[in-house]
Amino acid sequence: MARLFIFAIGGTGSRVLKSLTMLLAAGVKPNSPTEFEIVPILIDPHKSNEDLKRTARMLENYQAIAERAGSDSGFFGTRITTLDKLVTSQNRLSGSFTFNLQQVANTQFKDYIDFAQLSEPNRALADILFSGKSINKRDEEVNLLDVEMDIGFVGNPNIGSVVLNQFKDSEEFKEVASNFNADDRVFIISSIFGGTGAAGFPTILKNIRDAMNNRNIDGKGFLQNAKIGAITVLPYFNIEKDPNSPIQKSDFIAKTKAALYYYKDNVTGNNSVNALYYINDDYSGKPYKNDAGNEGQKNDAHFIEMVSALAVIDFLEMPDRDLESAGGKAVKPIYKEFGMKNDSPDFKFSDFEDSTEYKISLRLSQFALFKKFLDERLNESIEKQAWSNDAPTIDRAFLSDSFYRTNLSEFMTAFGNWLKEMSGNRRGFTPFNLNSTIDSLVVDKAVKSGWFDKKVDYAYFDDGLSKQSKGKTFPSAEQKIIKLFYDTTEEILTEKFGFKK
Amino acid sequence: MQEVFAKIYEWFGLIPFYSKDMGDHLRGFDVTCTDYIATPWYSYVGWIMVVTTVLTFALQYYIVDSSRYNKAKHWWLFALGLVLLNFLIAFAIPYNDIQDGDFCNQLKLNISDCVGFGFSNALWSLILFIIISSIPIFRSRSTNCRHTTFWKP
Amino acid sequence: MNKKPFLQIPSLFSLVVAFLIQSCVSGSYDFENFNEQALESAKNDQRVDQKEYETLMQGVTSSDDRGFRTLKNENGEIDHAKVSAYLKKLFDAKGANVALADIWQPGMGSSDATSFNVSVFLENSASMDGYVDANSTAFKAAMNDLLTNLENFPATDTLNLNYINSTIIPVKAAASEADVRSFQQNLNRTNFKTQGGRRGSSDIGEILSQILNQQQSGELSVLVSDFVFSPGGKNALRYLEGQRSQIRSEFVAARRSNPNLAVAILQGEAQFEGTYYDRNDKPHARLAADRPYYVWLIGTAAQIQSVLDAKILEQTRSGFTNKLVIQPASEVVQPPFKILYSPKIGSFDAKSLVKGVITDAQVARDDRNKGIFEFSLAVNFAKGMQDESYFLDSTNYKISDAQYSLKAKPIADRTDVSLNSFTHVLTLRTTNLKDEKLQIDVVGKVPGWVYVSSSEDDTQIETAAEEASKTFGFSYLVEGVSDAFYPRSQANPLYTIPLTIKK
Repeated sequence: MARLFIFAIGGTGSRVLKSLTMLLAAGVKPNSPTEFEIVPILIDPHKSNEDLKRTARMLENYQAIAERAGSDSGFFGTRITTLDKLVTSQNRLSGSFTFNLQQVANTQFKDYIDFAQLSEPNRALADILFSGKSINKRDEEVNLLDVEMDIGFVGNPNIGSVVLNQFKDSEEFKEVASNFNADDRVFIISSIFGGTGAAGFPTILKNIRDAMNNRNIDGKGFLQNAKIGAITVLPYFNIEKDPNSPIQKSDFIAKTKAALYYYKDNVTGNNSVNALYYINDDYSGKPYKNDAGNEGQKNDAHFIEMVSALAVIDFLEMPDRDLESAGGKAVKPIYKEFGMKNDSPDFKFSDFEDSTEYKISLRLSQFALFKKFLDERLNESIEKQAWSNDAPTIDRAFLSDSFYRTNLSEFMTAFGNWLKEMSGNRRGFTPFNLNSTIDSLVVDKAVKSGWFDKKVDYAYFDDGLSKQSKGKTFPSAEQKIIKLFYDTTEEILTEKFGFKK
Repeated sequence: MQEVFAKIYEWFGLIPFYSKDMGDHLRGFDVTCTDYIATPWYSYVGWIMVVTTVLTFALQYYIVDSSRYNKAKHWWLFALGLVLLNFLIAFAIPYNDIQDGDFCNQLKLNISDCVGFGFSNALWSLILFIIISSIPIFRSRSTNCRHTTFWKP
Repeated sequence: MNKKPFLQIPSLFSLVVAFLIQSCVSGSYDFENFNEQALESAKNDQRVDQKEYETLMQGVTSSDDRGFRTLKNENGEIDHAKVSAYLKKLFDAKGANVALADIWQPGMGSSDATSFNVSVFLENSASMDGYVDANSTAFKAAMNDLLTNLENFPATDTLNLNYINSTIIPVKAAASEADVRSFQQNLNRTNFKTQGGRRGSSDIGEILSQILNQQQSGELSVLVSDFVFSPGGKNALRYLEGQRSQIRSEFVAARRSNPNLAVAILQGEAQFEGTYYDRNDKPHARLAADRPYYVWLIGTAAQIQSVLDAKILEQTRSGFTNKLVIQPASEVVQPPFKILYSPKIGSFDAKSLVKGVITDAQVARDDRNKGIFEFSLAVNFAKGMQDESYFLDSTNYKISDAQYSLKAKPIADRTDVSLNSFTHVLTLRTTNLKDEKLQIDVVGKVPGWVYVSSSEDDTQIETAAEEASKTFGFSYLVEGVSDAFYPRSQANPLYTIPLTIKK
């Protein structure tokens, strides 16, 4: 099975990866003859970043669910694997999705670069390069060189690029390189306007393309000519005006311009990327709380992140011949943007172009319906309805097992929150009426009604489940619950809501 | 078949719900008290009981077959309807015969015999319903009721 | 029956279901169809005509319904007598007013009894003068009706009229209606005298001998007489015994040449005014009393049956008080019977009753009837030629198990459907119930009324109680005939009812 290594850099990276996970969990699959296994690597120096933690936890749950539900069950159909799982040797990495930036915690930048040991001229140069002010954990203004690095690079890509350059010598990168095959692909997610992402993207890209010159790693050839996709997220949200914060909206624009100028030579200009996606939104919506990130950077999910995740799907759908590289250069680089059919402060499925709507609306609706049932009906139906009593039974014991109680429940809660956050944001994305009855769940899809049409309610749902369950055998209750609900929700939505398969 | 039903309704002689005379009337002892040549009610009522029970089973398990009505309590509701119907049928048939004088006058028949036969028929329909719905193969093709029995879910 | 039937709808429903089941299962003609069709046939005209009857029989023939077994004989052929009996019961049960005669039967209308000659012998000895001399015309009227009925009887080929005393005095052979009228107009002492013969005494043995000897085969003889023996002063008892023995010999001889021979004796009563001669030939002048006289029918059992069935004798003005028939046992038609399910003491199963088998019999357990087993039979003796009362006398029955006692009573309630077409209920009781074949025989013997009507001493006829209503030596006369048919050494069963009792 081919692999897609995703480097998700910074807070934006982890949030896009979260959206991707949601889409994959809902059963959205790239329309491609090749199956890809996703290997996400989260790169964020700020280990206490809530987005990062949430994403990591969610990936763990996804992995646990997918492992037991199997790959044919619809939901959770794409495998997501941690880097360490690929390694068969004894020196395994700790099992997580995060890349460990070393010596960052509790370190000031000047200590990281051994400012004190530098020669006088070098020290002068560093003073020039890293002049200016930033903010520390206690929101006190400090010089850049005095910045504590464990809260990230707080909008200072110049610091980020220095630190992230250690990536090329990391164990993780070595593992990636030695496990990288000809069919595998790389995707890099970053934001252009922050600190970590803006610095990390070119750094990581350069390290991959320069793999031939890296004496520490194996599998260099494949890596050098890897099919690399990337998305660069341009500014898409406001932040509250806070004169004391080192993160300023006006800085976003300036920094974006500077970064794009830098990319012109080092990313796009030298054909380093096979497919590059740009995404931005100039809609001036609800401002995010200005929080540099110690306890903060726990921002609500945003529509743009979901669209960004779609770039990954799009990348996987590209045929190999369009992504050829030679000598570390893309033969025919592709640049893409994303557009909507309609403009609206709050998007629905119908605002997408048809192909996008077709790709995600059914699957997301299925998953939302699944979640509604688990939340509102399962307790009533369990051990009562035929589908529940068919072997393997989905009974109360099943509910108290960790698969359901921990993995699935947590994941579904995260999915619900994800939808809620997107809906609450501006721009918003509100395809579902999550609090209504299931027949009006999907905002712009009315249930067919007529004299001979059955009402779509939970009884109808149970009936559908029992029909699907009839005469089928499932190897396990876990596989059954996932597969059964996938098939049933698909049936209900196509039969009753007018979705196309 | 007549004698089979007769034995069943008379509980193989163990628990008589009604008199032997009623048994003879139901066997079809004719109005002239000559022979068993009148309507063989045991057969008729027996078959009606079997048919209504099978129909009730089909109604709940295959016609209604609803996720709303597949609990044990719904089973008992259908059973109640079936039992009442069978009680009425088995009660009304000899009762009407008595009212119309359509029976051998050497037989001593009274209303309590009609009630007894009604009760016997009702009980057998319940037993048959329990048996049919307890055998998994009969309900296996039902969508929503394939696990429905009188004790669960 | 005015009460409203309970719940018409379920019953209608059940009938519909029943009908559906029935049509699914058999789809053919069954007993219920037969009943409905029969009732439909009789609905408008209160009769079942030939066409309707034949339609019904087609159904019966084509169906193998169990119920039709009762309408068939052992060979599976339709028994039309059973069919008409059943239909009659059915019509009665359902309130359809249909007479048995209105149910068409094969052979009906064209009488299958072959016609025969009838010879009437009226005794014209002096003892008969009292009947014809009486102011009351009872005897003459009875004679008139008897002769007219015989003349009109379809089976009568020719009617021959005779007087008889010491010889037969033919009056008119092949008598016409006018001859009958003239014969009865001449019923008086004067004419009796002019007819000749020895009128002084009656030798009954001689009279019977003459009749039996001259009787052509296929001829029915009708003898009218007071049948008072005339011992003429001899030892009356020895005389009577001699007569009895002679009469027995005459009939034994007659039976030898005609094995079907049977005798019916009917007792009538008429006003007698005149001289009565007692056993010593002593005249009792001016006796005025109701005196018995008798009409004897001597012929084949079938002839007598047809005359009795036609009620030629009953339909005379004063009628007849008693009757007895003496017939060969071989000629008897066994009577239909059925075991009644109730009343009973103790219990038994109804299932095999129709086959004459009582199963699961148990004695009563209650204190009052403890140990007793009793059941009843309904029997139809209508085809039996004996008087109804003959069957009421329990001494006329013989039961194979002496532990059983029998009581007989007539069926008075004509509205009881289950007893319709039966004439008698026999109740059998025992305290020793066991598995057995129980056979009830009605034996041939002289019925009790003969002894009641018989006297051995008529010398005090004016004063002795009841003497005027008795006939001197009558029991000897009847015993003489009876002994010829029913030898005293034998059981002489006429009718046999076989039953089986199983515990």
